[in-house]
Amino acid sequence: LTAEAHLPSVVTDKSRPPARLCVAALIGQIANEMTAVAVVLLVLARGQGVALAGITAGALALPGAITGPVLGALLDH
Amino acid sequence: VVLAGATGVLQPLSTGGMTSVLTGADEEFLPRATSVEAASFGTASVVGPLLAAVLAGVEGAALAVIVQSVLKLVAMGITVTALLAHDLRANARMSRTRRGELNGLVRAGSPILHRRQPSSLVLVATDTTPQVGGVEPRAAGAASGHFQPHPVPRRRPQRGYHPPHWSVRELILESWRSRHVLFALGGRLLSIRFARTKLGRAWFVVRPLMEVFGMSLLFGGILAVSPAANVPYMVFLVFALAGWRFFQYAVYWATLSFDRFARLMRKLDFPLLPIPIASTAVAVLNLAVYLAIGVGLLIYYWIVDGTLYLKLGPELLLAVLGFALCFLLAWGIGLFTSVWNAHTRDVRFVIRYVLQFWFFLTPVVYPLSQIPSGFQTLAQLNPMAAPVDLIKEGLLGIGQVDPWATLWSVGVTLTTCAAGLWFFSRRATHFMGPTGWDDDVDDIRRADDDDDDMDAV
Repeated sequence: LTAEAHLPSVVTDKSRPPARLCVAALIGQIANEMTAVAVVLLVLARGQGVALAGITAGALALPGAITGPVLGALLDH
Repeated sequence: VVLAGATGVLQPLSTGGMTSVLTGADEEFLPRATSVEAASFGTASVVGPLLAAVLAGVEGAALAVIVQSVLKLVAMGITVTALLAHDLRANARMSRTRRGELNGLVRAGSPILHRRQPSSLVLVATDTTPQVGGVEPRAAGAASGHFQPHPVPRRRPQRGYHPPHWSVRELILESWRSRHVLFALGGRLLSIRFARTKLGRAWFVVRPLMEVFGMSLLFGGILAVSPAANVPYMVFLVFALAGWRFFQYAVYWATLSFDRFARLMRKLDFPLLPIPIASTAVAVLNLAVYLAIGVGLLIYYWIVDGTLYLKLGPELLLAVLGFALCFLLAWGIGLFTSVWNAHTRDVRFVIRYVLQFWFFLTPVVYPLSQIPSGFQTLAQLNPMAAPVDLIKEGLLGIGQVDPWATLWSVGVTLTTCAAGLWFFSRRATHFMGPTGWDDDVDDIRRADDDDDDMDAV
C-alpha cells in the first residue's frame, strides 16, 4: 500500500539482485545490436540494393524514436 | 521493411526494460545494478555486431536474422519466467501478519485497494459488496486502523450498487499485477473443456485431425481447389487453418469468458482483464495442435515427395507476425463481445454465425489469387486476409502479401485493441453487481451445454 507496492517485487526484494533479469537484458541487448547489422546484410545479400538496405535500417531506428517516449513512460509506471 | 518497422516500434521496450526496473531500486542496490547494466550494454555493443557479422559470413545473413530473433525470444522468456517465479515465491513467503492485514482491508470493503495486492486467490476469497447502501468503504477501513487512505472527496451517499470506474492505465496495471491468475484460469478452462467425455483430452487432437482431413477431401478433392506453387492442398490448408482457428477460437472463448467464470468471479476478487485473455488458452492449445499436424504433414511429404515445403529463412518471421495479428485482433474483438455477452447471452449465438461467414470471406480454404482481380482489393479490406497470407507466405512461401493490406490489417488490429481496452475499462464493471449471474449454474455443465458447432463448415 506504499509506493513500493507499485514496483515489481523482483526489485523491491533487496536481498536478491535480479540476476536472471540481468542475463535476459544482456541477451536482449546483444540481439538488438545484431539486428541492424544482420538486416542490412540480408537486404544486400539478396541483391535488393543499398537504397533498400538504408530504408530498412531507417525503418528499424525511426519508429523507436517516436514510440520511445511513450513506451518509456509506460515502463516507468 | 514492414518487419523492420514493427521491430523498431517495440525496440525501446527491450532496450529500456532493465533501465526502468532499476529506477525503482533501493539506493544501496542502485550503484551495483547500474554498473551491471552499463557492462551489459557495453558487452552487447561489441558482441552483437561481431556475432551478426560472423554468422552472416559463415552461413549467410539469414542465419544472423534468425539467431537474433531467437535470442530476443529467449530474453523475453527468461524475463517473464523470472518475474512469475519471483512473485510466486513472494506470495509463499507472505507472513501471517501480512495476510491478516490484507484480509482486514478486504473486509473493510475497498474495491480498489484489495485489488492492488498481487496475492494468491485464497487471500481474497471473500464476498464483498462494495459501496452498497451509501457506506464509504475507505473511511470505514481507515477507522479500523488497517491502513492510511489517500484523501477521498466526500460524496453524497447513493443508493444501490455503483461499480468503480477504472482508467485504461489502471486496468492494465492491475491486470499485470494479477498475471499469475492467467495460468490458473487457463488451466481450469482446459480441464473442463472435454469433461465427462470418453476420449477426454484426446479430443483436442482428434477434432483438428478430422477437420483437416475432411476439409482437404471436400475442397482439395471434390471441389479441386488448388493452391499455387505445387504445394499439396493439405499442407496449404493446415497452416492457413491454424491461423484462422487461432483467431476464431480466441474470439469465441473470449466472448464466453465471463459466462464461464461467473461463479468464480462471484466468490473471488481479481481484475477482470485477465479473464478474456486466459480464456484464449483453448485457442493457444488448438494452434499448437494444428502446427503439430502441419509439421507431421511436412515430414510425410518430405519423405514421400522428397520436397520440404517449409521455407526456412527470415520469412518465418512473417508467420510470427501473422499469428500475432490473429491473436491481437481476436483479443480486441473479445474485449467488446465478452462484455456484451455478459449482458445478453444472444451474443454467443450471433458470434458463431458471424465467424462462420467471416471464415469464407478470408482466404483460408482458397488462395487469394483465385478471387477475381476486381474483387481482390475488396477482399484485402478484411483485416484477417493479410494475417492468413502472412502465415502462408512465411511458412510455405505461397502467400500473396501486399504491404498496404498488411498495414491496413495492423492499423485495424491496433485500433480495435485500443478501443476494446477503453470500452472494457468503462463497461466491464457494470455487470459486477449483486444482481449478476445465477450462482447455481455449474461451470462444467455449461461446458457440456456449449457443444460449439462453429467448427461445422
